[in-house]
Amino acid sequence: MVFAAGSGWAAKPAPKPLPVKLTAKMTNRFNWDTKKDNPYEDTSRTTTDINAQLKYLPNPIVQVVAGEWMVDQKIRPYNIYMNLTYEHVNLRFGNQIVRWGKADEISPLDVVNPEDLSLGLNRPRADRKIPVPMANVEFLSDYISLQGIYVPFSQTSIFHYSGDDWAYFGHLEKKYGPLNIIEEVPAQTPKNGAWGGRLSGTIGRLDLALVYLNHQSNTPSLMSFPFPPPAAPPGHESSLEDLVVFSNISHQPLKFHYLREELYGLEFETAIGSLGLRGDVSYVSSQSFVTSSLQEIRKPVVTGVVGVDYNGSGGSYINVSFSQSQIKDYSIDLAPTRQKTSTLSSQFSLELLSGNIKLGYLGFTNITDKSFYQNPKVNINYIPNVGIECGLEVYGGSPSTQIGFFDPNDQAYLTLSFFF
Amino acid sequence: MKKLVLAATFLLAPFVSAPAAEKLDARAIVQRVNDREDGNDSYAKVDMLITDRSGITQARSMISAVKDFGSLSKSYIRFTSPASIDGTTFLSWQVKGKDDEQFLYLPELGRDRRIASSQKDGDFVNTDFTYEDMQERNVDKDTHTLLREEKVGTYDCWVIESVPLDPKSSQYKRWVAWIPKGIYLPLRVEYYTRILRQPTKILTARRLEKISGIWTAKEVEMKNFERNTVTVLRTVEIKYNKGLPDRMFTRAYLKQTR
Repeated sequence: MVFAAGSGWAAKPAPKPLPVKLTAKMTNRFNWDTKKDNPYEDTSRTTTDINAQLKYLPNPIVQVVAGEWMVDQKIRPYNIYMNLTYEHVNLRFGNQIVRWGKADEISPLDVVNPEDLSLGLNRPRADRKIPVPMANVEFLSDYISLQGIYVPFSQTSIFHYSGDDWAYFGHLEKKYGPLNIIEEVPAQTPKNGAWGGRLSGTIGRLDLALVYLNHQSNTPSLMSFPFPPPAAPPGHESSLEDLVVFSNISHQPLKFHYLREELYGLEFETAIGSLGLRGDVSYVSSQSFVTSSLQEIRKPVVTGVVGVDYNGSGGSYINVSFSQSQIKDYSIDLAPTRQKTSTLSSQFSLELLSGNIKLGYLGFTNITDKSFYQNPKVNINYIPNVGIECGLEVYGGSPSTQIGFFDPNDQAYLTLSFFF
Repeated sequence: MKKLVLAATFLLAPFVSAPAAEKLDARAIVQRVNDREDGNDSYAKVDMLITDRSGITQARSMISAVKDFGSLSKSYIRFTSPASIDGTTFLSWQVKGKDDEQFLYLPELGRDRRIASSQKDGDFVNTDFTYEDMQERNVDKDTHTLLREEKVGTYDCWVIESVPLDPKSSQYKRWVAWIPKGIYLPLRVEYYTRILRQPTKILTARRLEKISGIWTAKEVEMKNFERNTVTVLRTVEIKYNKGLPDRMFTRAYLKQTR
């Protein structure tokens, strides 16, 4: 032995690595409109999102996460929570995201957290989710799990009423002058908070969960005009432009509010051979609709989603899901909205060259109103920690439909993502 | 036989010595490979190098853990780098004679997802290992023939050919393995998707070490000659019989990314 103990060169134990982990993702997105449909729209747009998270892991029980999120040069808090993990209990307190529902892409149960809709559907849904302050308690066992959540303050989705391509009323303000919009935002009091629970378990290879959520809706709904348009014929399909015109003519503001609603849900998921089968059923106690005479009316809505996916050999993947919503107690004066709305969403991908190149397609079709969204894309992953995606986003359908309204926004895009 | 590849993928590859002088037929040798003692659990840090046909190599790191629960074997793989896939976690529960139950956790989704047992010939996370390569195969599903005995490096090996009784039960028409006497660790396996042609893939185990009394292949390479690609798995650190907590192999644990 060259250096004996006591010589001052005794081997020191290797320093323990700091129990801290920093991760970050920066996404630059460049959009170009495929054609200029009106004088107001943006022909190109560049956005940068930066998401940074610091995790402190002092021991196997405690996990502290602090994250910031910069969207379009505005800094927001992201995940900021403390997580305590015990054998059968998991406690998480602070700003966090909870996602319920098994259905892919569009789940009627994935509504605990609001979303950033300021760029429409440009970002994937996971990136649109906004963390909110929450107490989240889970009791875990081998057979069933019970989760309870409490959100002390009402949190709403982020979107614009007017002024840009993705705003609720688009550029109608530029066409018709200033919009008179009044939004009744729920007071930040515990009374307007949200609470709910999820009971999940497995029977054989079938995963099931029951969900309940009592909350303010994340998105606003239009309130009745005190003086509705005269003699509006039942079944008249009002467009957003009609609303703006009528608001201007009648000098009545467009008033929005956030309704309190109860959500009951069932989730299921299983795998049969090489097929995955999953879906959700939801019942919303009171959803807001606008009648043909521009009056607000509330009705219960039942929505079911069922999807199947298949992992093929050679890196191929197919995912198709069908959903149908049905308004209960439907009446004819609701005619601007159909009683049943059916949608089909599909996703295909094929990985090439050891997964370094991925061809993909994401499509969504509203079978009822014939509007659609299509997104063919190519992902290139040759460079470690750099993701490149380029593709097209095509919107179609009548301007009075939710998707068709964005028809002028067809675009090509390039997304560069850097991971640290 | 296939357990070697499973072990390689999870960086376990443990083998126990058996009396070398014992006279064994081909089936018995393969059974010995399957029956070897591999500890109750293992925990490993593994680097994965994937080289595509253009010669570009991508590196990934992962944590891999396996634990036996009677006839049920549960495995856990969490990628730790590159940052783009950090936190992506697979959980697999394997019961002999039944389809695996597999779950995937993607951090951006924030929830786990039950995934269908992929097709046997499907690639495991874009490597040259297929899901079938990672699963243990019942010895009686194949006929085994002792072709010859020959030396590989310093090891005296049996060379055994295995052919599936039901051709539909495997993506391979046959495979030939070099099994060192007394160690029961196939040093080389040639996989044939056509009977008479050259092997489609060759698996090579290197850097054998006895860790905690268990033989371990610290480097395993799978070369795919059809695609001209290579995957190498290198064990950075491995520990056996740590007494890993049961909850590490539960779905709830998937969400508790560290």
